[in-house]
Amino acid sequence: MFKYNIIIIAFGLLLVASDGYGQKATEIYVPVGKSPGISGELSIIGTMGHVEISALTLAVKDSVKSQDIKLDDKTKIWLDNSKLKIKSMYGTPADLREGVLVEVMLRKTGSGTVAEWIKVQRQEIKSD
Amino acid sequence: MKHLVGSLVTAVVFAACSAALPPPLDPELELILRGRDLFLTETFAGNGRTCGSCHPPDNNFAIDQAFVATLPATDPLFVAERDPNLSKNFENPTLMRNLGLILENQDGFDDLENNFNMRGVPHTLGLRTSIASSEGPRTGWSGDGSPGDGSLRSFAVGAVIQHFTKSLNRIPEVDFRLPTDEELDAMEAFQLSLGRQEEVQLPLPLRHVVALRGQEIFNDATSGKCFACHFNAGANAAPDIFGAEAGNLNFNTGVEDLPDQPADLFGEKNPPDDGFGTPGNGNFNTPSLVEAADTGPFFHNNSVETIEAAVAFYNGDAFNDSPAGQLIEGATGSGINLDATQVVAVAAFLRVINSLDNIREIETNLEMSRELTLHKLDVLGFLGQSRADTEDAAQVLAGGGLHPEAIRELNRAHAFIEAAIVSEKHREARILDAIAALGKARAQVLDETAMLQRSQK
Repeated sequence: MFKYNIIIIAFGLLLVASDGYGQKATEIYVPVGKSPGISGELSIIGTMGHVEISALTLAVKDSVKSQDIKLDDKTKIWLDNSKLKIKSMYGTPADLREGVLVEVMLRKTGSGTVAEWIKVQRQEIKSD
Repeated sequence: MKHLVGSLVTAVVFAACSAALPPPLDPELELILRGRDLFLTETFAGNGRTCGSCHPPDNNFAIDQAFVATLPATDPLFVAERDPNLSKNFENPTLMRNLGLILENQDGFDDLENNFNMRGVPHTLGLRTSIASSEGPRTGWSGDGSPGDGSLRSFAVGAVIQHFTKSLNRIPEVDFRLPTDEELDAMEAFQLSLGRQEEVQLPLPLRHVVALRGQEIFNDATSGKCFACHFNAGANAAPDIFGAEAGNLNFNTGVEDLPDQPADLFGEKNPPDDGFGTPGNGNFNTPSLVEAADTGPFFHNNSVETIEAAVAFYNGDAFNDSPAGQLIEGATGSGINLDATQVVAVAAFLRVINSLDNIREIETNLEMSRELTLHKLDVLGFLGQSRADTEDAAQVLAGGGLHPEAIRELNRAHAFIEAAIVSEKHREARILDAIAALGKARAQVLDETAMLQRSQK
């Protein structure tokens, strides 16, 4: 006979150990606004406002309001290069600049909500 | 007089036209057929592959090395062998042709040379009952196969990006196009229509004593313990153990710890697969067992070929030392330790319920063929799939030395379906003959009187 309490506790431990994000690796190649079941429903699409990388916060302004968003070390930053017809790539916090169009997917954590991923739509290549 | 003749002619013409017009198609069926067409023929402006390239209906919507060997060299499945843009880091032809494995970059595309895994192609049968969980939908071998909202509907987006691309740049509108919302809706409807639409209710009144014993072992918490993760031989966890809402779960069963894995023996680069998440937690998704016996090889890496070997895996160190194995041992006081005859009995049970599911599916597709004929739509695809499934059902039973009489009826059904494919004139009659033969096959395997009594309670 199964000891139910042990199963439930152990099962919980098995779940907690996971990242929870899973293989959405192909998301990097989905352009801003095209994520199925996400864009226009669960994500924020708007223009980047102020960015404070040291504080791991940024603001995104959509058509309705400006929203402050936290980042953590698991936040994925992707550069959507689809409009440039070149390969999309992994980005860095340095790519989060004021005025760029972004899409942000949020994730709940124990201490609140953070950005699961941020897609930055690149319209032109800036030479550094 | 002229007026009367004119009216008569009009009436005759109207009646003739009305007789020629097929009745309107049910909107849900129309969506499913649209999804089927997309699934099997739409390349999404990519490298020529379709969903059907890896999920062909005549091979239970999956591929294995035997099926791969039947394909011509020009098949889009082999695009990596002839397209220089995809010759590296897209597929491994040796492992595809020898083990039916495909390449996945589920942990990211930053290092294509090293960051990949070789996985089998899971079938798409019975999805309606096997992907829902309290943690959200579970798709793919590690239960995390979809981008976007992680749903089955969104799965096609990830599949197009991973497998349909013309180059490793994977640029939308250059290397492929993304499915539209309408296409995603249709393909989801089609996939959900495949296979059984509800859970099997065990125990079944099976006629074969070995399969019957296997069912007992399967459901025995002191013996096989299989029901814990494969409740009713499906993909969902036992509600009494894991909770009513648990659904389809992930476990680390130690498959990655198996020694002498076939993919490794070929000497090809085969990085360890860490399962769900990035980085992975070692957990893999629980597949349904009703469809298992004719959809091998087994496990996420096709490491085991036969259903008997798949059952025997749970006797071994890899499983019993795994987190899932330790969980079972802690909860029940022992690991799984079946002797050879018991392994065969459980496998016989799985063979028998698979054959029953095949019979059900064939009947469904034959009825679909009759329906589509009324609408003057093409039925050869459904008949072809039915023909293939009769072969599967017969082979599954024969492989276990089970039910020779049922095999005979399945072979008769096969012949009738073949005749239905060849002759449009006699199609309806041959379909009905096939359905009758299938009924006889089922009656050999299942005590239908007992089933009826159960359903009436």
